[in-house]
Amino acid sequence: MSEMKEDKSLQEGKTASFIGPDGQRRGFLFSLREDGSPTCHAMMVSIVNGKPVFNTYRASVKTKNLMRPPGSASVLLLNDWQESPSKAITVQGHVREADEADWPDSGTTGNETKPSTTGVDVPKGITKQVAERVSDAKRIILELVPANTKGAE
Amino acid sequence: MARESTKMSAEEISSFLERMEWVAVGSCNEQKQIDAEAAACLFRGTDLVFSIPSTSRTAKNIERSSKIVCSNDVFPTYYEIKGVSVHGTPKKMSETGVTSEERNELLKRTESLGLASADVVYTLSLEDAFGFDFAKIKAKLA
Repeated sequence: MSEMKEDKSLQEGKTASFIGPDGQRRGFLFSLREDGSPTCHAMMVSIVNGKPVFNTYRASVKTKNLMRPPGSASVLLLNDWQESPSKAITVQGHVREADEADWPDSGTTGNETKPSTTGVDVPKGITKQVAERVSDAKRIILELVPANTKGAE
Repeated sequence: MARESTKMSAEEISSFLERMEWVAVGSCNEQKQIDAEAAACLFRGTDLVFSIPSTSRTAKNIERSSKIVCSNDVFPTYYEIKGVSVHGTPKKMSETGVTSEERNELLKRTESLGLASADVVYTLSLEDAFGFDFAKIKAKLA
């Protein structure tokens, strides 16, 4: 049985350590609908400099939820699709737009082969298409600025 | 060009949930932050049933009448990604609201997943459920 740890320090250095090394993770991104009720978007999340970073369509409901005050967001993270949910950590905070340069696949041509850290390979064509849509601003790079982290150690 | 719909039908959502042993549960606390935790679950036709510790933040948020969302996904390969989210106000089940078989199954799943001991059971109807399935995408990229 895992020990749950409540409200770790909010200092960014500690948060980064708690989230673990940079790389891709399986994520459940939670946001608030317009009526204030929570919703969830299962998605691949990248950890960049200790912060959860992800991309989505700029015009999506997800983006609207995340950018609408109070802008609350949480992400439940697992290392991959095989990991037990008892190992999940949750990062609470708010979302802000990140620089395109913060996206791990920024500038990709689609010809690179990158090892998957989640156990699931994303087709090169998808990686390329996402990069193009980030570049032409159809997709947006968002980062979750951690306020609280909680989970198994 | 319009994006292809990946939306699941109600039957596909039920079929997906029948195979799920746990869900990520999100609820909103008094500070308007979202608490999230994993919970063992089972599906019984029209309702998702899940169990959590009564001392958890999720349980406390639910007691304040918080709406919740339960979600899970599968990801064997990119074009086999599928996931479901169920939204609503959960109902706390009394001793008589859940069969002993359901309680035992939830207990078994909680233990096998290594989740914290759960002593309260909720049901969530599928009235507000959404599912997506990337297998429905016809124009697949290599």
